[in-house]
Formats: sequence, C-alpha cells, structure tokens
Amino acid sequence: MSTRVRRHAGFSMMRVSRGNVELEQRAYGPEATREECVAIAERVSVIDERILFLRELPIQSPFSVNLMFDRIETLVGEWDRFAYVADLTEAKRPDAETRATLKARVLRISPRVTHVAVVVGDNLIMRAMARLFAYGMGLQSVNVHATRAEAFEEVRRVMGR
Amino acid sequence: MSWGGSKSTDRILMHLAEIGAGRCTITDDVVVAETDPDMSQVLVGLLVLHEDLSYASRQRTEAETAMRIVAEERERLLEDRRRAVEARDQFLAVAAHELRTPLTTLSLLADRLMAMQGSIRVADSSAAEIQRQHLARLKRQVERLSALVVEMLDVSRITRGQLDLVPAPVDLRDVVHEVLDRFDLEIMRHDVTVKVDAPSPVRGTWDAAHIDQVVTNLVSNALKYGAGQPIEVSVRAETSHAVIVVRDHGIGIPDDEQTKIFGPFTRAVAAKHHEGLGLGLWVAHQIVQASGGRIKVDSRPQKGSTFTVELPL
Amino acid sequence: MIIDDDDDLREALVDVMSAQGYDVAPFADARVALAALEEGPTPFLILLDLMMPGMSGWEFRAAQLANPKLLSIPVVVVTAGSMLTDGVHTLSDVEILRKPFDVSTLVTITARYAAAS
Repeated sequence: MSTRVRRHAGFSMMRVSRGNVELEQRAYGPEATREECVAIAERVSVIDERILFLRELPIQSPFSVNLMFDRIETLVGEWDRFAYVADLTEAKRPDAETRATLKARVLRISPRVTHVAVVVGDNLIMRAMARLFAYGMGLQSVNVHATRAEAFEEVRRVMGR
Repeated sequence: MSWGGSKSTDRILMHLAEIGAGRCTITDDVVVAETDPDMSQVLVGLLVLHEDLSYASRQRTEAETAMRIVAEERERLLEDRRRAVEARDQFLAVAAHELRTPLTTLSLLADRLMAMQGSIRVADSSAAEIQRQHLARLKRQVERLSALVVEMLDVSRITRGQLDLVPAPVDLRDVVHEVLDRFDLEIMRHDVTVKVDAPSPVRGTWDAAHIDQVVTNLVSNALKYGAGQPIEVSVRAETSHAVIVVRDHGIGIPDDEQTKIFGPFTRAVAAKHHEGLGLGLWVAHQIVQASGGRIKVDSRPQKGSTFTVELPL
Repeated sequence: MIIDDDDDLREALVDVMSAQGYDVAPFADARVALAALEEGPTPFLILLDLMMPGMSGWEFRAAQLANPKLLSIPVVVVTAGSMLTDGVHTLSDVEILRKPFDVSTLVTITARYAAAS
C-alpha cells in the first residue's frame, strides 16, 4: 500500500502539534476550540492521488459535518474527479438535522465524486445507514465494506491506481 | 390475517402505517434487539424515514411561525402608520380650526385701521403714505394666511372623509359675485379685466360656502396663471344642470398634465412661483363631486384654460 | 347684538358694526345676553358665537327658540367649524358665517337683515 501524499496548490493546513487533543464522545458545535476543530478536520486526509480517507466521528453534528467537508473541498482543490473512503466503524447513527447537513454538503461535491467506499465493520445499523446514504445522497457509485483493506483496494481499482 | 404475506411484511406495513400517521414505535433499542439482520436494517431505514419526516415537518412549522411573525410585525407597522396619519390629520384639523378666530380678528382690525386712516393725524404726508402701504400689506398677509388655513382645513376634512355639505336654496350668481367682490383688490393689483356673464338667476340647492370655495379656487388660479389677460366668468342654467365657467387666456396646461391637475399634490407649474398648497383644484374637484356634479378643464399651452363646473339642479 | 366670549374678536366686531352706523349690544356671556333680551329692546340681528363656556351658542339658540318673545329674532352664527349640531342641539334656520370672513361679507349680510327689519 503506497501512501505517497502529494501536495497541491491551494493546500492549506493548520499545523498544530499532533496528538494533543483527545476528541470526546459528544456532538461538537461552534463553541469548539481551535485545536478541537483542527483535530476534527484532520480526520480527513489524502491517501493517494485523487483518493481521500475520512474517519467519521463517533457523534456527528452539523458543525462537524461542515468542518470535515470544508476540509474535503480544500484537499481536492480543482480535481474534477476523485474518490473517498468513509470509515463509519466508530460512528453512531446521526440525527435528522445532521443528515440534512450531510446531504447538502455531499450534493455540493457529488458531480466530481467517482466512487465512495464505506467501511462499516460488522455494524448492521451503520450498514443500513450507508445504503440509505448511497440511495439518498445523489452519488453515482457507492459500496459498503466490512474492512478498510477491502475498501482501499476497491477504491484504488476504480481510480486506476 | 393468514393468507399471503409474512410476519416480517406485516410488521413493515404496520410501521409504514405508523409513520404515515406521524408516529413511530421503532427505537434504537428495538433495532439492536432485532435478531434478523435484514429486518434490523429495514427497521433502521423506517426509523430514519420517520425522523426525516418529523424534521421536515418541524422546519416547516418554524418557517410558518417566522412568516406569521413577520406578517404580524408588518400589520403592526401599518397600524402604527395609520394611527400616525390619523393623528396628523386630527392635528391639522384642530390647528386650522384654532387659527380661524385670530385670523378673523386680525382681518377685521386691519380693515378698521385702513378705514380709519383718513381720520388719523400723522406727522407728514409721506408717513401717512407709508402707513397706508403697511396697512395694505398687513391686510394682504392676513388674507394670504386665511386662504392657506381654509385650504388646510378643507384638505384635512376631505382626507378624513368629513366634507359635510349643508345644501340650502341659493342663487349661484350671488355666490359668484361675492367671490369676485372679495377678489376686487387682487384683480386691481393684477390689472386684469374680469367679465361676468350671468344674465338670469341660477337657483338650486347647494352648499353655498363650499361652492364659494370652488369658485374662489378657480378664480384664484385664473389670476395666478392668467398672464394678465382677461378673465371670463359665466353662470347659466341648462336643462338639468347649472354651469359655471371660469376662463383665462394665460399660460394654459399641457395635455399630459390635464388629467392630473385635479389630483392631490400635483402642480403643472414650478411650486416656487405661486402661492398656496397646490391643492385648490383637488379641493374643488372633491367638493363638486360630493355635490353630485362634474368639473372639467379644456386647455392649451399659451392659449389659456377653461374650467367648467356642472352642478345638478 | 353680538354674543362672543373672545374679547378681541368681539371688540373688533363692535368696532366694525359701529362704523357702519348700527347700535351694538355686545355680550361675553350668553346667559347675560338672554336676560338682557328678556328685559330690553329687541335687536334686528344677533351675531352668535358657538363655542363658549357656560352657555354655548347651541344652548343659547335652544333657549331663544323656547321663548316666544325671542324666537323670531334672526341669528347669524359666526363659527370656525361647520357643526350645526353639538351632539345635543341642532341649529336650524340660521345663516352661517364661517371664519375667517371678510369685513365686506359681514357688512353685506348685516345690511340685509337691517333692511329686512
């Protein structure tokens, strides 16, 4: 598994000393500290050319969704096509308001998204959420996987890596 | 219920019916406790559906509430404005009303002084002349003030819908003559010839004071815009109407203005050249209409204007 | 007879009427005027103000009409408003002279009543 991360123009990242912030099991909102915001955003990373990896928070909120998708948009820059792996193994089911925010943010990038691979482990509830997500978010191609390895392999194959 | 359908299907249908009714008995615990993997995922889907529908409903209610608050606020502002306008009109009416008595006294005193002038001993003839001029000016200013006050009061009464006419038997010739008598001084000052054509009585039942106001406004305009040319006033009775005509040969009114001149606050000439509130024709129009009549104008720029008032007999 | 509680206006009216050659009986209080009418000579015209404290113009007219000795005396109401009624009484059969008016108008009207008497 090659993990070469390429830098792209317009790529800005706040450098805070890593590993200092422990994110808690709660919904984050506008009261979050700068360090907490960075920690949330850094759960999104580039793992290969035009491939992103997103580790969903245990408890999500409209605020956290916006943070993460702002980060996605920053990372993909001008890419006209890309894929991402979403790891939901730690995640609990999001509420209606969060889902509405998620739908709005996904719709914004969906024209450029070639494929999404969702990792749910053995969590049947999150598997169902992922399927609902696939049907309801305007994405062309979504698959659900039990492991990260499977997800990464599929995404690389789809993106011709 | 034994034919067709499995227990799973029935259960799903039940939940769908619940959701349609806005309820849902599925909870996260129920989902977790469910042993059938397919059913547990369907239950999640149904629960999410219910949550999304409830959320959408809440959003809509909030939007409706926000809209209702905006509408109520708007209503309140309109009501405030209505009350402010009414207060203003009330004030104008009271102010105009109160101004009338002092104006009357001033006018009477000015007249008396002018009349007494001959018998007052003054230092020399030039002082006497100055005194005469001062008195004449005083009288003029009082008349001007009176005209404005009357106009103000009429306007405020009209806007409040309180133009109460008191019809009584009257000969319109008398009204016309009284108006022209009052304009005597001003006619002399403008050095204008006024011809009156009223050979026979024109008797009917109208509010003399208000018709007086109409004729006054028309004559006043004829003097203002008549450019020193002769003015003709005629009164006659036709089969069903009495007709009063005031005609000047002055600056006239452009075609596109003619429909607007009877409206409030329009003036076909620059305001600063002429006095008054600019509402003379509007007031005249309101009075004539309230009397059951019609007023119209026939005019051409630089040729003059002919105002015709028809009153029912 | 002139009945008006406004001192300045009443005096000005007295002056104008006197200059015309009429005998003038001015009153500031309508009740006093009523008493005077009972006792003394009958005027050919009463100039009546409406808004007065004590007895108003409307009340005066009502009292005048209720008295057979006085009811035929002509009245010209001098007023800033056009209210024929104060809510209780209604004026009938009176000429109305609206303020502000011209001296000439007042003189013409008065002369008409003087000639008629």
